[in-house]
Amino acid sequence: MFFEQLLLHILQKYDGQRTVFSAYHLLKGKKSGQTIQDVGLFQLQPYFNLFPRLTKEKFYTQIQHLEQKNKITISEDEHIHVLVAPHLTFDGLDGWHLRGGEHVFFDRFQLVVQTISNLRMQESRFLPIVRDERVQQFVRQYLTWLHYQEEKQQHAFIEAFHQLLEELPVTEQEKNIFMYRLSGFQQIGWTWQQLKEQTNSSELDLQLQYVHTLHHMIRFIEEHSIALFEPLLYQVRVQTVLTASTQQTANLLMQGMNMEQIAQIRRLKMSTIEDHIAEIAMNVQTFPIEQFVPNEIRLAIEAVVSEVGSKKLRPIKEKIPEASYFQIRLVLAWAGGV
Amino acid sequence: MLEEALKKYFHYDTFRPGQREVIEAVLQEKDVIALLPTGSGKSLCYQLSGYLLNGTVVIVSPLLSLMQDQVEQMKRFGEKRVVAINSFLQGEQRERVLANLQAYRYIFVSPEMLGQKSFKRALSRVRIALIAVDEAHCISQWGFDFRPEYLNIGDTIRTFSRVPVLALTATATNRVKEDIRKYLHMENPYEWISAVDRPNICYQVVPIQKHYEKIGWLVAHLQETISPGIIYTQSRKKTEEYAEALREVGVRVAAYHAGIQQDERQLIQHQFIAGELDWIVATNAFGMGVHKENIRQIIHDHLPSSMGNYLQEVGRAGRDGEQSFATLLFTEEDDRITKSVSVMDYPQEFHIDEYERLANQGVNPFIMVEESRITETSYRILHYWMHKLPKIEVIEQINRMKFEKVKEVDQLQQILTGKDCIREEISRYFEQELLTKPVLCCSICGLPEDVIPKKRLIKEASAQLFSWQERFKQIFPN
Repeated sequence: MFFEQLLLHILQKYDGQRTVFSAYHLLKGKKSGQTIQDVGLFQLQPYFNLFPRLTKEKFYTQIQHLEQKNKITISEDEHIHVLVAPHLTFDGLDGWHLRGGEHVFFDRFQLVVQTISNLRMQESRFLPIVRDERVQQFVRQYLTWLHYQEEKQQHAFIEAFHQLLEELPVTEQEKNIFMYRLSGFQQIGWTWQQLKEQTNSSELDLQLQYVHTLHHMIRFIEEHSIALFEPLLYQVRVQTVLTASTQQTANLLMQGMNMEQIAQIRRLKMSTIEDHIAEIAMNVQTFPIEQFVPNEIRLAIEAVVSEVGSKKLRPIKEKIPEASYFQIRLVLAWAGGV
Repeated sequence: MLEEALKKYFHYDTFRPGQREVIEAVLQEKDVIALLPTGSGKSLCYQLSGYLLNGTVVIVSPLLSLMQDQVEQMKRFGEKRVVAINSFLQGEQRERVLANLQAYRYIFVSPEMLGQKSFKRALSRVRIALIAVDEAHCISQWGFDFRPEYLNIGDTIRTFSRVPVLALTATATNRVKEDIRKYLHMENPYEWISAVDRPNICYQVVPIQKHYEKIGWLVAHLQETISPGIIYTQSRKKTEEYAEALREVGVRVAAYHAGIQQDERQLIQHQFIAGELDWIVATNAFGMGVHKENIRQIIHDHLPSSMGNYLQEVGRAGRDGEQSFATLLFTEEDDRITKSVSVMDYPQEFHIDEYERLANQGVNPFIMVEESRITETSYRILHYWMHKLPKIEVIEQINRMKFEKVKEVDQLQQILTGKDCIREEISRYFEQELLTKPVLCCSICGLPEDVIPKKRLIKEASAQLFSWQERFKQIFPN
């Protein structure tokens, strides 16, 4: 139900201009030029990388369900049109800036909870639920900082955690799912399979609610500056939203090189550099758009977009023949970005 | 004096059979081959030695999961100066560890890493007191999981100054033992060979007419008899199928295979250890690093691919010494499936042609793995032999290995479904003499009906989802 809602919402945003698997690549968080530009173009930032382990088969089954229920139609060239406009009952997702960092946060959090729970029961030799060495190391440092051996500090953590759950703006069901994924003293977290049986929800719905809860939790901790939890967010958000290769292009750009020079130095095709520039335009607030698109052309493009309401390149090009396709893409990316 | 150290570092009062003898030989700087059954505390042999020797212990270990597990365990017991060097360790972290290698008392390393220049260079600054080779049977192509890169261990470790080598394994025939001695260049090694027999495990073979009847047998059997237990199957699909059927009748069970996500597998393992699950239905991916003493039953719905595999899986039962049961559900022609599965991991002739073609074009043949045209295991075998032998002999070599593999399945089938005492035959396979038989021996020697005890009638309450507030109180009761 939740996943279906989300999927319809995303497909709606693509506005019939993309094929079936665009949404799949978006949810998987594929780092290709097309997927990344579309994020800006269609304002899909919240949904990027929400399901990095989604399989193609599972995704396609969902699409077929939607088609059978007459909520979408798929045209012959595989483009999708949404028939029933969805209403999204949840918000606050931020896939673009978290990109899986929410799971790092959860791993840290669950190991801290397991440690304190065991410690409260005088058990210091338990089997850690997270095996990742980096997470263990991080949590060890955090616990030292917390003075976790002191009863007073344990209570402070437990109370802050309870309060956080109470105040978190997500549903009770979502809080339940979150709590049952955690492990403690002689209590092991539940698998998705087990949660599925107990809640009669699908695995995708459960996982979406879980990720939604994590995103809210992270934001809540940040916005309320909850001192006990803030250290757990260390580098959970991506430092730079640019892909590594685009970052290199950005560096050269800042040194004052032009696109041809960059293409030559990096031995890349011009079209690749264009992809990079579009990605930078979308993500960097201070991007100097006027260096690439003269003001009057940019204003003309924006006018056409708001007039026809479409983000297809060709109709825009037909109305403003003096603009290059690259300039049109750039303006669209820039306008859809941060 | 050894007992004092045992008490001090591990809080045990007495050694298990073989441990003391092995450690004493190691302390006298002898090479040692130790055949100790799974779960008998093999790793304690090099761990305790490490505290008594003046220098570092290097442990070569073939499986990443096993290595991680050992390191975790040692850390849990308070040993901080331990590190695993494998493909998980990358970049800056790896450099830091290598630069500081002499600070560690125990260094676990995969055979691949052992051969790398950067590692060897770092290791040359370390004062090594002992090299332990875990799962040493992997060195023998007659063993059930031959790993070509193990063959290089011997040459690599002998480039360091003369250091005693301790080879550890749970299963080795005389032929395998001979290979270990030869390829690790051991001089006159001290040998400790434990009896392979596990008197507290009772073997039964249950003939089943048709394959599809096995699931019904399992559903009936698991509802009645004691747990915890593990069912081993051959495919991921089967694990899911069985688990679902069993869940429907209220058995607390989960499927486990390599296709399940890592964090989910972690939860399943922990639940099983904590007693929240009674049964696991698994492919052979399950078991390594799962320390559970009270497993009462191991059930195979198929013929395993070798004696080594079979004993490793069955050996997970009854680590606490209590009576436990190994059951094989056997249908005629099961061996055919096992044979085809067990040779699947060997390269085919067209792989050999492809390898040669790519190599001649100056392309790295590893691309075959990257493009999923061959499994990595297959590739390793192929790669190794292509460097050792001319192509025509490689084909022969691989055919010979396949033939041996098939023969192993036949041998195991004869032992498990033949006319002779299963326990005696297992010992004979390892060229050991069985001195006594327990009362509950095997289905050939005769077992009372309903030999496997019924489970207590009180049904374990199946977990139930309450509110988050309830769960909160369970995790933080005070």
